[in-house]
Amino acid sequence: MHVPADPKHTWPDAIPESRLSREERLAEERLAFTDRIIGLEQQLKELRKESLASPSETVAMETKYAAIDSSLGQRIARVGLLPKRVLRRVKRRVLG
Amino acid sequence: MSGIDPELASRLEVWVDSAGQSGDDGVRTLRAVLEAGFAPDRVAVTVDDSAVEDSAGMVAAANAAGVTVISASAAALNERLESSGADYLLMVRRGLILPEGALEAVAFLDRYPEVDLGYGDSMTEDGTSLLRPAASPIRLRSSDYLGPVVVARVSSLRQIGGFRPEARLAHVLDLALRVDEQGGRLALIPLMLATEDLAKDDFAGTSAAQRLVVEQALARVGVRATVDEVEPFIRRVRYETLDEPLVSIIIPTRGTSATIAGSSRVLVVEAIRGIVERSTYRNLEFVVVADAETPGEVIDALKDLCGERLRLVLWDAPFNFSAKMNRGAAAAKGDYLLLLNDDVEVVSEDWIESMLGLAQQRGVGTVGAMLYFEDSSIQHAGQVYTGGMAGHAAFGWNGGLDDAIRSLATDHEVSGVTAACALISRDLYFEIGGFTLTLPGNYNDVDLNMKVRETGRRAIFTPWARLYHFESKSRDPKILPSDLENLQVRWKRRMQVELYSRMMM
Repeated sequence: MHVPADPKHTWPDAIPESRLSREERLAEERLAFTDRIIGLEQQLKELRKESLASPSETVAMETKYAAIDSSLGQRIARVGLLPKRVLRRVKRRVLG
Repeated sequence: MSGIDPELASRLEVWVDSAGQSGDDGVRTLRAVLEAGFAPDRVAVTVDDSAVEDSAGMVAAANAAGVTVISASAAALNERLESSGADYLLMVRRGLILPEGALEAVAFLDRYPEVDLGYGDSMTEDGTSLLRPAASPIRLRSSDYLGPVVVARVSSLRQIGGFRPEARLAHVLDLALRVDEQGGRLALIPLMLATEDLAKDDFAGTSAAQRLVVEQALARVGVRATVDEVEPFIRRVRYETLDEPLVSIIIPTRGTSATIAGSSRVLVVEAIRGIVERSTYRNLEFVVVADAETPGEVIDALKDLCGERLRLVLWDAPFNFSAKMNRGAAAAKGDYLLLLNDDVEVVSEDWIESMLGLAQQRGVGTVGAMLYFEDSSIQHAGQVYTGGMAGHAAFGWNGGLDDAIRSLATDHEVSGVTAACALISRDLYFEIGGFTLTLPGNYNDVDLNMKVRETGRRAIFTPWARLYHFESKSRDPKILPSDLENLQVRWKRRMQVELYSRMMM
């Protein structure tokens, strides 16, 4: 079937039931309202202090961070930043 | 005892299972346990009778090492379980346990008292990782993915009634299924616990035994289904659909055309033609949410194809995929909503039955399909969430490729499924507020899946519902910074680690 690139039809005019009924419109609004409530609840949950991770997720993250921490790149970075850390500590002690 | 702390050893009992192992492999497994530092009096070998398996070598090795040999009959295993003074039972089923594997398994259960049964990762002897998924009860029916080392609380095993005579040769799978069934908790220990090889030999009919315990598990929970063996140890569970509910297929469209396989086609018309002509599920309603600009010829073609089953819904506002889907859901009459893009083509005739059967299972929220690009490479086999971002598992893999635990031949839990083809009950869709309007173009399905999971339900991928999705591989989704912000403000901390499709990233 070939469809013209610039159709002139306005099909909804011929199909009035293509617009939502009042009940359907209310259902559509209910969806949006429910999502807003859930969205706010989840945003608050994200801000809480306690862990949201499952036991498996917690162990997986710990393993990942441990691997990063012991990686060559991380060790080089720590050595590279050593003078800066020493200076910061000296500054804190001198200036209080 | 050299390697294992005596205090730990007193809390742990190790059973080396002979089921499914050749005699030589069983002996190697036992030796590895002893070399890991377990004293022989904390270890037992469980063997079936010689008519069922060749365990003579294992029995001889056990006797020589002073290890107790227990009959793998349920009565003998239960007797031992009842008399055990250990907190944990470590079941070594194959391969070579790593010395630190036992410590890590026990440390995990010590740390998380809510976990009843744990299992972990392994690696092949050449160092290839076999990364197992987070607890996946639906996958467990299709594949015993638990791996070579499984640890359980002795108290939990006693609570579920111990071992069953009907589960001979498949006791561990049976225990895991029953722990889940009775509300207990399975958990992945995402650490290397053992090495193993990938031999798929089925010694002593272990695969058939697994199939039997799955059939029994389904019967116990009142699920009507048939279990077919796809290959040894991999099963396809065909769920009977309950009550043949009305399924509303919601398709947003603008009535556009594209060139597919060298010829031009109107996407929505051909997508629906394929469903009408090839789908075996009949109780369908087509809810097409069409832009006002949709050509009249397209509307006429849809009417011809669908007849009374068509509900056309007007979209006369700027593009917003989420809002279009929500409008379709508001107009839909079905008990289930099948969210579908217009640039798809059905491949498997029973795709709706495959998805619906899963959607009707306890604890299942959304079900997604296997989607292929036009060149038959994989477009979607579940979503993966990591570092606060989302992507697709096995994206761009050649069709026919799979991971080492046969994820693409099994129904399984995933982090989420794409809304290009997803099934969800209408009740659940309304419970979670459908698609969020804050994500009009991208990540709206990720948000939908996270909302579903937040209710305690799971997202499931099935490889048995197959469709083409004619999205370009090089499509630029035009992700705006605000898309990511709006997603992450709700879910970032819960999208850090991908644990379902770890071998397909």
